Amino acid sequence: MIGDFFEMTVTTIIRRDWIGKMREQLKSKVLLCGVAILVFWIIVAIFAYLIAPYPQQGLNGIPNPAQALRPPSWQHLFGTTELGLDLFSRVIFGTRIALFTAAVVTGASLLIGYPLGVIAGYVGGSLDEGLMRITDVFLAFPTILMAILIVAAIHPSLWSMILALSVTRWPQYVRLSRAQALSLRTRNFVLAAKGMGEGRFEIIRKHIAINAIPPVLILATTDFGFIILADAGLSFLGLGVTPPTADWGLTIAQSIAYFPVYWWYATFPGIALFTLVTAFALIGDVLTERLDPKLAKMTGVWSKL
Amino acid sequence: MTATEQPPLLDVDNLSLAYKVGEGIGYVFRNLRMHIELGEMVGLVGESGCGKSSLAYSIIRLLPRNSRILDGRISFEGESLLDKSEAEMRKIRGSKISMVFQDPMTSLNPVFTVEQQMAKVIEVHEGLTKPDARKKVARMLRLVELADIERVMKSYPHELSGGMQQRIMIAMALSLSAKLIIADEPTSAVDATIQLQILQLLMELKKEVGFSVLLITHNLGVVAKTCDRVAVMYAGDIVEEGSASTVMSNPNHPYTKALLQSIPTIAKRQGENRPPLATIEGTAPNIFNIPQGCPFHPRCAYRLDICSSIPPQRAQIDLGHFSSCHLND
Repeated sequence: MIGDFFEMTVTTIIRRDWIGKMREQLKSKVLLCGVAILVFWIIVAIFAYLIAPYPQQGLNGIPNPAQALRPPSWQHLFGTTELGLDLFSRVIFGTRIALFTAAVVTGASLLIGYPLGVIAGYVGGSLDEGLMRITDVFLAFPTILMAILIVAAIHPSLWSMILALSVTRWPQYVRLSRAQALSLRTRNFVLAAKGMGEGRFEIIRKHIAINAIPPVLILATTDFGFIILADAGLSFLGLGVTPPTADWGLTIAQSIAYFPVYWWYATFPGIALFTLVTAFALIGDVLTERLDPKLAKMTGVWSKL
Repeated sequence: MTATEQPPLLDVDNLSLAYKVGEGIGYVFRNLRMHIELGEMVGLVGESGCGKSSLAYSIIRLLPRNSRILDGRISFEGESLLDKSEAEMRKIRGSKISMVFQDPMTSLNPVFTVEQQMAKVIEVHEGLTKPDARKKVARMLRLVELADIERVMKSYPHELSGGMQQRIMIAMALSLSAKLIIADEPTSAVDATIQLQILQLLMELKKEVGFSVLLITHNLGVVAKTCDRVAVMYAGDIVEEGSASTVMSNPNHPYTKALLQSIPTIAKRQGENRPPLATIEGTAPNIFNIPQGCPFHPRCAYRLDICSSIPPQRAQIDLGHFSSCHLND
């Protein structure tokens, strides 16, 4: 009896340990995978001139009707567009736009939203109240709809898209860092710091801002992927990057008329978009788990494994 | 303490504090008086919610926003603390009056090493250079009897035990040479085996360095072992005050007596008689509903008719031993 029980317990422990180890390994593999894909695309973006066989066609490109809509071949790895441009070069140069847009939008929203949120959350009062009502206005509209309205009001271009997306994303960072500051300001180490005679600025910087970083970092990572999708979406709708600049969303929009006969036209930029967005999703998920295990238990994919 | 001409280090006189919660206003304490002499360790004892911590936060002026000091005076080294601006108070906190908090685990910032948290404050307050501040941190950690100081300095708070963390909090509180240390239940979050160590450390340091301590606790046993003087607080009043040995051996106020009886004792041998553990019936009143007359009368075993209508006066029973009870009239 006791022996059986003992054996059962031991097997359970071993099994559980085994699953835990597998999960742990899988998780680090997933993170590695995400980072690898991301690094790959970053290298592609940096060395676009060297990698692309036809850099001029990738950058803007003069139509070359003689080569229009050729299927993938050794000469044109991904085939050509209806204007006879090398799709491989177009996809490579599209990486630059995608990463650039995401970096600028995320960076700008972070730089505006994070300090504002931390200060509002700690200081409170009418400053906090006023800022919250402003963010409410922005958060009342879906991001994409708001961005569409803004771009339409100005005129479609890369920079107006960047502006529109930044304007719609910063309130998220304010909200999140404010919520963090609100919970951090009642923590004992903040009280202890006050008891040691530390000033308001020092407390915000040393105790509030630093401890508010992890969730903001997670938001930024997942936002990166979201912005890339939004960028592709807006360009697809003709509200972002304008031809002849190479952009994945724009290229997919142009390919629609030729699908499915000229399948390569839509497929390759689609795969590129998919892998890059997935990379951010994977990194974001593992980061959530690492930096905020409590949140991950509620929302993460890993809890369901 | 014998009567001296010098004013006490800390003198709280006639202090009244109120909290506003929703529409109600509750008085945490009215006309509170207490003092701490230089080099003295004073125990402030009472049940949860009686206003012990509020008194501590009144002294360093870190009360919550919904509170207001209505009346009274707090003077420290002869200067009125209530008249200080926030900037002046900031200079006093840490360097003249500092606090050791209840829960060391959460009182240290998790993202900084011990050295980083301690050195920064010393640098700012004392204008020391980085290497000098570092040396001072090491000296403070040695003072609180921590071993392996190099390792401790490089550790993050979660890598240390509760006892070590509390020693670090004490080192931090002492690092700017404060004259008064307010210890708000410094041992309630650490293991029972460490409690006495921490308090003995505080006592020894007090003798060595020469500061005063206001020890806030609900443990009379702790006070008996460590403090020079004790003040017993009930519902915002200091009901009895005197030297620790006198109050312990010869309590006057029924509340103090009841508190002393509710300390569990262990019979020494099997079969030996052990006094039954007494409890105090009822609960401490909340600040919105303090009984008329003597606040303790509804729970008092010796209650007289007068207790429910007229608050008792503070009377001297013996030299330096005060009690507020109608039984003494």
